[in-house]
Amino acid sequence: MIAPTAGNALLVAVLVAVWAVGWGLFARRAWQLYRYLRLGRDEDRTQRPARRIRDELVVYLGQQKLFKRPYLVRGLAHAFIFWGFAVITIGTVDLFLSGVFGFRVPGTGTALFVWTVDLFAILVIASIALALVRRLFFPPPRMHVALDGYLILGGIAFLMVTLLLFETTGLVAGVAAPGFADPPLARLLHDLWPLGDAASAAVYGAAWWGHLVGVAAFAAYLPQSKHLHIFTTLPNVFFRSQRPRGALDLIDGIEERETLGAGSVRDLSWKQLLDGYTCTECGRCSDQCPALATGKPLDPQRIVLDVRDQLLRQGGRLVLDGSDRGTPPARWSATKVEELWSCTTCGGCVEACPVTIEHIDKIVDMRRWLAMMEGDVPPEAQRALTNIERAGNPWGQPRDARAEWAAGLGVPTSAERPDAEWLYFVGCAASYDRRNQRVARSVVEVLRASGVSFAILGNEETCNGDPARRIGNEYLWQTQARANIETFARYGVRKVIASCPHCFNTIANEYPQLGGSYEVVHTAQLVQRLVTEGRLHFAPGAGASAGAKERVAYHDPCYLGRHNGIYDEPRGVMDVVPGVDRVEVRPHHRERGFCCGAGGGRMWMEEKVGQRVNHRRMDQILAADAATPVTKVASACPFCLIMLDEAAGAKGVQERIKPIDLMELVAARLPEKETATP
Amino acid sequence: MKLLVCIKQTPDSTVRVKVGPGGRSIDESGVTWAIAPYDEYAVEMALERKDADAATTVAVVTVGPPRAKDALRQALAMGADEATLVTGAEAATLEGLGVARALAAVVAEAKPDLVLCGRQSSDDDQGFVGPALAEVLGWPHVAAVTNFTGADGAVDVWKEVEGGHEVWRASGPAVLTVQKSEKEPRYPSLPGIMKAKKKEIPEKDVAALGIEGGAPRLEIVKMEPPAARGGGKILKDGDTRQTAAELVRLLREEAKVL
Repeated sequence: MIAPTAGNALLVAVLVAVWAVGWGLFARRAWQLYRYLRLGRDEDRTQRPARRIRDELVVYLGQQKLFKRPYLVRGLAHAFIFWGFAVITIGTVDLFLSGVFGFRVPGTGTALFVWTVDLFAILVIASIALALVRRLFFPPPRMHVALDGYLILGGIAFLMVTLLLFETTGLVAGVAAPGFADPPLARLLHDLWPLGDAASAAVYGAAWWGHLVGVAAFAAYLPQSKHLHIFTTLPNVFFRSQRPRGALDLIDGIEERETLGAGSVRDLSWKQLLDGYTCTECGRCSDQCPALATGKPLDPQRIVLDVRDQLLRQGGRLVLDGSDRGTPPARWSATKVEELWSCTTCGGCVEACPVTIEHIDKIVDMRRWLAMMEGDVPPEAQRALTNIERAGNPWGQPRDARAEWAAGLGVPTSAERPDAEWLYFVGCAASYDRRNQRVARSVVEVLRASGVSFAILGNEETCNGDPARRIGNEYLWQTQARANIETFARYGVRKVIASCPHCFNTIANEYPQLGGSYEVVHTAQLVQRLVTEGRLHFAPGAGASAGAKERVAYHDPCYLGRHNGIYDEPRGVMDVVPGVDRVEVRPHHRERGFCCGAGGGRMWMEEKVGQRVNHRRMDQILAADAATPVTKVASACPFCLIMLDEAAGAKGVQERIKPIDLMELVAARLPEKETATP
Repeated sequence: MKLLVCIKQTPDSTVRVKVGPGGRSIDESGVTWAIAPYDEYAVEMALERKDADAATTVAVVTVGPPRAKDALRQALAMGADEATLVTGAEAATLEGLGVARALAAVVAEAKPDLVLCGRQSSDDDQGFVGPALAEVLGWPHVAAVTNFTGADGAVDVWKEVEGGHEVWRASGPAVLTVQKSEKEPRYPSLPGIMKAKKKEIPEKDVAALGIEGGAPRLEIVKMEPPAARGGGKILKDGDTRQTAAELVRLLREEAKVL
């Protein structure tokens, strides 16, 4: 197209001025936001650059996280708008350059380019229409449907319409530049266009100007709105955490620190503040939150937006006055503290977020401040912390009763057998909780049946520290972790088996932060490995009484599944065990598994508000059971087992649907085993 | 107001106490020590006063072996301002009255407006030292205290009684033995713990205070752990009527509760 400004210095000056104002406003806001961002604490987010580039390609350009179910159609619509934006931006730059300098961006005249632009223009318009219909008639429950969204959609639609208008009228008016391919859509519309040459030329000019002025206006508006994510997602994905999902951030030199956790926006890292700029308020995190679903005062989206809003509110003040600490995040609203304590750290929100926002880290940072700076922890959680401190377990059971579950089993301790290949780290739940002691005994049976050389620490074992860390007492976690790492070192432990996903996660993913690196396997992984290696055999026909298979539902523990990606191994074990038909708790399974309610230290806190999370989980299991009747629900976590047991009892189904641990399922089918299935 | 809290370090409630060789003392190996629970309530009660009134100071004191310093540090971490350890060879053998005399010597020196003790320790459960201290000092004593407020030299003390509470007023210095604080004992903040770690804790020698152990008036003859609890019994056979009859029989003849 020949630009309407061609040869007219005044018009060129107007165009440059309009863009200068638009992008000037953009730059001013961007600078302000950047300065606010720098209020956050430093954090290195450059490790593993290759992974970061991969994420940029897959998560950002590839829009991978947008396509999760049940958001597939909406996700596709978003991806079309995004890809369309990327392609059409090249065209927009070309328009501007040709308008000012008469210079064409190389490649923009090719048939490939014009076809691509037109194709995306249609896809973008169709996607916008879909988005509008959704907002107007089927507003998603968790989404904040506000004017902002309509303005953005309207703005994009305006740019697309003006694009198609000036392309078409440009063709009609004959202003096509020689040597450039005709836009195919315009060629199609050309024949339908009702106006004559002169009128078309006027429309062409108006649409051309409308488009370019629109871009400038959009540039000015964008950083004032949640649509800022189109710029911030790029760095937000690049700088996403490359720690294992289940690992929290280490507080280094904790004894020398003056502030611990987040007592101000200054104490949140710059990346956590960037998360706030990046949130588009889509509400997918809220959809997954077990606390929100059961009526607790927590909404993960609110956590992120509160960080953003507070930063925007106080940023100006804090930038000017270095001594101004700002308001503690945990005190931003009357309910903030309860919000923070409602989190089970299940990771549903983090898994769901399309732009890789890290909700849990913020919540834990704020909890750290409450727990370590203010000593303000729910009384029951405080009791659990004191118990860990004094007795080495959150229940406050005697330290020297830790190995009583193994009485009479002849399980050697590391002191007795320092040459054992594996250490079985039993964990507090399996050591002290009567129901879970049976699981520990099953583990022993399975390990023995497979000829695995193992030992336990006995009374020398102490809580791995996971509840303390997630409640926010990083110091206690470090104390516990160091104690275990020292004990491991004393016995030369290199390989660790854990039957508890929380022990597994913290030893595998968090102990390396303190110099303790081991090969750690969860029992579900180990059993699968033992079966594959041909070391573990089952009794022929065991468990399959009367030839019928029993149907067992599988419940994904968060710290096995979402936090560690172990979805297939426990399922593999269920599939290889004779006489068991695995049933999935759809749609709340695998990545969308629903928490039992015990994570994040919630095991030791009272749950007074709303429905109990484990009861909701049991409702979901009962719904699956209504479709395919099951007789058991298997989990692979002692806390899930306790929670499911309680829920089954409360719903009066404990006789019909028995909660069990995967290892009990396995142990009951070992050869030469006479006892009935659990 | 100047508050002094007397505390005792006892085995933590999570510890399974074992009788030592000889059967006249406990086996102290592997024991985790803590502030006795009622004493911890006393510390919390004093700190709640301090929270309400910045001019209030809280000091803690204990009579015991050197390890009792950890209990004092715990109280400092919770927010107490200063701590004193009364120790020495004699400290281990002091009986209740000797402990009360040693504490009285500290009180005489520190001159607090009010002394708080837990109502009883969780090891000997004698409930003796608080009232004895009041007696030695010649001060009034209020027991089973759940709260107090002080103004102009007088103290209003909430005291638990069956089915409610009474408010007593003490005009001068007094000794309160604490039943329970308004809130659960606070969780020390990490900076509090770190500060407490570095804090100097002065030691006083029991003998230097002029307290003599003297000949013991009481002697522990024997310590025995309680008998292991048997498992419960589940009545499964028979219909409801038979089960109920069997239950009544067992409650009467075996459990002897009817």
